[in-house]
Amino acid sequence: MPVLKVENLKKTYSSKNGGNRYKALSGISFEVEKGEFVGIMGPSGAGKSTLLNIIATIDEATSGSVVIGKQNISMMNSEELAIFRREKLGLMFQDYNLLDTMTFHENMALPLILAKENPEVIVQKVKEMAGALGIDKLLGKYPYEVSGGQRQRAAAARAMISNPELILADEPTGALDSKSSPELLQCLTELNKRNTATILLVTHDAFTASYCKRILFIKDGEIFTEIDKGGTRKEFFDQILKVLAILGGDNRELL
Amino acid sequence: MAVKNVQKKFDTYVTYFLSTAFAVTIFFIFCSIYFNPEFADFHTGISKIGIIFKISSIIVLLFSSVFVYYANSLFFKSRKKEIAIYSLLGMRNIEIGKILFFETLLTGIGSIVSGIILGSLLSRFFSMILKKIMLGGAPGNDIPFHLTWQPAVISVIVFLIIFILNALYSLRSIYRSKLIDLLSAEKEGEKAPKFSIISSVLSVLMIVASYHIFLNFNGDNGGMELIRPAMVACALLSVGTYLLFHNSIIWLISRCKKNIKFYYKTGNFISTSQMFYRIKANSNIFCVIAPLSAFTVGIMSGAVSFYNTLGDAMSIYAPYSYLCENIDKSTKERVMETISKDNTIKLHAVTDIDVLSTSASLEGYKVDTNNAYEKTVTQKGENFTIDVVKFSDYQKVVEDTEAIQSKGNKGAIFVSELTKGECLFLDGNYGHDYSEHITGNNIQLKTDVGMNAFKITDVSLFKYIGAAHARTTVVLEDSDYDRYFASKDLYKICHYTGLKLENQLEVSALYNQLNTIVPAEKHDKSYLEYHQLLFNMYGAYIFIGMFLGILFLMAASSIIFYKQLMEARDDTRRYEILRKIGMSKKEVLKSVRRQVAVVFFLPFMVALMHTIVMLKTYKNMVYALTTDSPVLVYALLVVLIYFIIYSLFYLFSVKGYMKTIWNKSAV
Repeated sequence: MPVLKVENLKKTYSSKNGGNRYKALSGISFEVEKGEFVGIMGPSGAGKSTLLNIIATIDEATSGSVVIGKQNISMMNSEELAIFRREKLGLMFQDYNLLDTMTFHENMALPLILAKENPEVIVQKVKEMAGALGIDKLLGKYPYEVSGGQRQRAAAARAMISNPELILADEPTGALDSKSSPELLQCLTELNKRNTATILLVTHDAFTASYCKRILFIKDGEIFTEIDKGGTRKEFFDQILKVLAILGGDNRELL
Repeated sequence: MAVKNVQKKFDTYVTYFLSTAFAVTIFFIFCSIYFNPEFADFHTGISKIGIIFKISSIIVLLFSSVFVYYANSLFFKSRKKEIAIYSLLGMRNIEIGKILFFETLLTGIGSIVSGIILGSLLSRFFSMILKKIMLGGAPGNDIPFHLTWQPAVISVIVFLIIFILNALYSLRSIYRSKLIDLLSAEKEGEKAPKFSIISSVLSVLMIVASYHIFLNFNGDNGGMELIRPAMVACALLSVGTYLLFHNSIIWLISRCKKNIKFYYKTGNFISTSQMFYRIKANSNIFCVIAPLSAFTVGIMSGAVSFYNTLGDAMSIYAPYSYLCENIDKSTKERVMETISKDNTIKLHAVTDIDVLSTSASLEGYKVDTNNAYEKTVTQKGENFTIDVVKFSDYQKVVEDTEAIQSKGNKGAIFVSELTKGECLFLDGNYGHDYSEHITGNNIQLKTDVGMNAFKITDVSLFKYIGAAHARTTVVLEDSDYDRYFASKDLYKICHYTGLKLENQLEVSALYNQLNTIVPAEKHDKSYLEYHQLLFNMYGAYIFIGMFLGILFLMAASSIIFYKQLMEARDDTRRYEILRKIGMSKKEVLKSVRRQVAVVFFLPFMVALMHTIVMLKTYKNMVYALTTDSPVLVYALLVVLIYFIIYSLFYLFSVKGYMKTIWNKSAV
């Protein structure tokens, strides 16, 4: 039973007057099993973010279906989607999307509060999660008071705190420096291992992708190829680079 | 390009335009009433009303400018991104500034023109209201539709200046703001202010102290004597309220945050943390709104209840429709003849009464010397002038003037019997303090055989033949009176003839006729003249009170309204995040409702508290005049109306807020 099942997903953008149609996704199908750590790579404009947004239920597909758990998200209305999002999904973004009006503690507690969790349980869970991610000393701080890496860790904590079925991360290392990135990715890997959290990560950075167990490459709205991690991370990294070289286009970041 | 811009962003412009046009309208109405020839007394001469009108117009102007300022800054804020994009595209500051300046001016001129047009339509309506208030139920001619040039010119000049200032302000903001500020998303939060126990205690103490001062105002004291304590009390109240908001709110919200059972609820969590984040700005606005609302509700309910008691006060000034003094027989006959000739006149009663002026002494009685607001206590044996009236005459006066039914006669004595040796004491003063402890005392009247004592059975402030004639009077039992009457050389006699008509407000022609028959020094002003005097003077005050009240109400509500919309603009990104995390529209709405409700109704509560005290003060002040006026009933009515309008603004704010944060984050 896969956690995520995407079938023949298409997305077409068209300008209001009907002309100028642009195909972002042209039939994508794949599955993600429970406990997987899947990366999605591809050059800019390949449709990575569109795909992730559709899975995250904040964008609608033109056709095709997305099934998360047992639910087909294209059948739900916006009210149901909101509840679905907070119960089944954990989202991470490139620009963290932490609320600057709240402390770390409050930011992390947010999904649990929305789920109407017992206050004592919330405090307990926030502490545990912060400890696991090494930000337990920063719980009283506001986002603008700490570094980007710490912020992204708080965002990761927020995404995972309600134990969602699927964690979706959109370029989580995009705004981080070379020191913070591996720290965050290490955290994600550990959470993936320990809590058997299912993670779907979109990136265009081969280094970030090398932490995944499996990578889907997208080009021009279609799945181009797929590779599994066989050996060490280093070997996997080289493998990714090779694919990217074939893909062309977007490998300037690697140099 | 400026013209094109106005056409393009229609929505934002409409809000801006409407509010500025409203400000112009209000100002124009006020001006046109001031310059209406019908109310010429207002600006000719140095009448008190004229001065008050002038002060009020300055207040109106002040509020209009604040209003326009808020509208303008919201407008400017909503377009920051647009400006930033212009700037990014390489437009020079001077060019952007030019565009913005002319835009502001263009909309300004538009709103001035439409404000004046709307104002001239509405000014007639308002003049009619004023006229009606000033007539107070008496028949009067309609006001012709006047359009004079002064109000239009003044409005144009004043608002042109305001709009130019605002345009300059926008211009300056462009120069001062860096591109990065216009574009950047993340901002530092406001530092949470520190809570101090000392100043919170101080704030409560100050408010209590000011309440104490207000409640101890003595209506008998002159206005001059009250100014200083009033100012002290107002200052204490304002500072106290300021401190209260700056401390207690912080304390309250911190408490809310600490109480996780309350805080960790979907509806409370977002709103509370947002409140905390904006705590300073919020408490600042509370400090403005609370006193403003208190003042408004106070002024309006005071005005309404005062107006309603104004008619009651008539019985104090003119219990009779027409009162003559010492007229001879032939004059009286001619008077009666005139009345009987006109069959539209319904004569209710004619009273003839002798008032004997003499002197007496009474221990413990204070005489209001009336010029210095000083009370002097008469000593034993000290004489003062007093009138003597026969009990049966007095009873006839009471009956003929319908004194018992009239609400204005506070504390009138309507005993049906008086024993020999006893008397009623009618104090000529206006407050209770003068004759407080004299019931049961003996008043000494000088008679042939020396001093004759009468026991005072009852004391009242009843002005039986009107305030202009009723001096301190003692009512003697008939036989006592007759005995006293016999000693002719002890007193001066004054004969009054009072006419009481049933339709006393509608017979101005009759009064004119009577005035030609009765010599001027032998008759008092007619009921109608007193009525006009009273209502003309207070009617204008009341109108101003109501007008300012409505203005303040609109100002207070729209200031919060604008503030909320501005905050919503800042919050757009936050709600986008919340939406992504999985907050549904229902939950967001709930949260927004709570947040906005606190901003609207917290200051309202405090204002209500202040208002109650002010009304109590007001009640104490007018207490001396008439019977218990149902101040609280009127206040409740005003509060209710205020509440309804305020709530409407609340609903608009929630709607506007939702529209801003939800539509923009639609994915």
